[in-house]
Amino acid sequence: MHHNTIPHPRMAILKISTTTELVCFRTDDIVFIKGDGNYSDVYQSNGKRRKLTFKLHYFEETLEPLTHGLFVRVGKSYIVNKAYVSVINLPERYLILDRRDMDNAYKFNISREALKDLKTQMEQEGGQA
Amino acid sequence: MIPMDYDLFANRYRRNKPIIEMDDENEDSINETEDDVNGIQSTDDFEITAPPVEAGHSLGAAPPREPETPESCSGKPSYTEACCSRSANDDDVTLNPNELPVISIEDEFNDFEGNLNPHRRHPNADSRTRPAGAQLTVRRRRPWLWPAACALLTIAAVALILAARHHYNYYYNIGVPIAVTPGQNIEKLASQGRYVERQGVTLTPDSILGVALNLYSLDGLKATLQLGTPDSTDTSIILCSRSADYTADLNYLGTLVVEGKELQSDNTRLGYVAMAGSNVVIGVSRSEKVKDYCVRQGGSFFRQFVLLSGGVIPRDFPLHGKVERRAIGRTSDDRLFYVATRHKETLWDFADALREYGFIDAVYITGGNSYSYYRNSKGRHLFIGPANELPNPNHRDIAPWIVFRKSRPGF
Repeated sequence: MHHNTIPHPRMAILKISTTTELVCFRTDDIVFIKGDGNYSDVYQSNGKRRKLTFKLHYFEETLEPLTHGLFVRVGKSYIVNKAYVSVINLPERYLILDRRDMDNAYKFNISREALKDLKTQMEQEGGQA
Repeated sequence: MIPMDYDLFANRYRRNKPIIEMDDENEDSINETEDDVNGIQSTDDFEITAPPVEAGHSLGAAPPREPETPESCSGKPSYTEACCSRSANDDDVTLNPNELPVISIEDEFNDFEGNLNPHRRHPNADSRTRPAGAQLTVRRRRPWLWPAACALLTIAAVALILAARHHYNYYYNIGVPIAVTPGQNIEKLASQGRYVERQGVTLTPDSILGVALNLYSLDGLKATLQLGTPDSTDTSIILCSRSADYTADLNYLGTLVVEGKELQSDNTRLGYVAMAGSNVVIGVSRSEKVKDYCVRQGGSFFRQFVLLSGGVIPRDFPLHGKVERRAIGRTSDDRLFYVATRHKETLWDFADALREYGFIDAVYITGGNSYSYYRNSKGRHLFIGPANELPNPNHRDIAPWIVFRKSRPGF
């Protein structure tokens, strides 16, 4: 049986299992995840949202090594899928997540420092989120 | 209100979609685009907006759930349960506050063109489960791999066992013990030879188990093979005799090397007599190491049937009937004897007599009543056995003869 670390996963199914429920997400369908204390809301590209009763850092620890930076922590409450980043506006301090297949666009009011870090990171990646 | 630059962005994509505003202080608010044609409105902090629901597709009268696609949520919702506005509690995962979730990742199946197929899950799709924070590894699950590997290993093991068994039976399990290995015989051939005070042949008539034997000791003699009948006037020849067999169509039976030239390669007969330099050895083996050594050294080598090996008689003999028998035998003190029966004997009786007499190894010599002779200590030419006829004239230049001469001429 061959084992190795994941180099560049293209897509994956994120399964979240509790004693009572199993929830599955396609990682490329996740637009962003919003943390709210002991809860987290997963926003999907089809407009659905699912609230999960555990903290945001579980997602951060799980998604970061799997997607190689596709998901990035922005501010203290959000994990954002960079594939959906549409606009980063530093003077106005907002971020817009949007894509053609989405029904809704999401606009975030985030601190300038967090936006600047995100902007720098995406510039260094050459536009490949 | 949305900023001006996002208006430009929205116009570029020619899309009119609601903008949901959120901030980092956990205060969600939903704004609508200026030309919001879908009439989406926010209701509370955790509500998601979606296109309007068609009549007959209310939550209570939802049709059977279908596979979810992005199109179903954009303009033509196939079911309202997933796309309609709903409260946050509908999607909540009820979790014990102290319970940690198990988060696992499973790869999506790619189709043959390398594109992701969201509706098709590979039956053996990679699956990884870990506690939050642990390092992830990919386990390539190939269910056919282990059975195939086990089958291949089993086949290879069986083939190896069969090959080893065949090799063992062919080269080692020849029915009799091996007293002298080919390596030991090569060492003997390469040595200077044992010094003996008297060179020559000494006849000792004897009888054992009802078999009358003439035993000719070969002391301090070297041997060669030659094709063609030895000249009886050659006084350097102390003893000569037939050696290897050949067929009526003049093919040699058993490996035959004459003065470094290999005339036949056939190891079906296990006994051999090898000659190189001033040494002569006999042995029992299917190995061709000794033959190869003789070829390299310009020596001679021939194969014949085994009569004795390690003091043990083989299970059966290929020759039957009673005729005069001859052999070259080796005793436990490593002396060589040329042995001939005075009467007709079966091969088994002859071998049993040799064993009883004390020989360790013995190799059959063809031509029990053929022409052969020796010279006694006075140089007198004497025939061996009853026959004194020459070989068939047609085969005179074909029959291989083993010829013994003094290794130290003049003594």
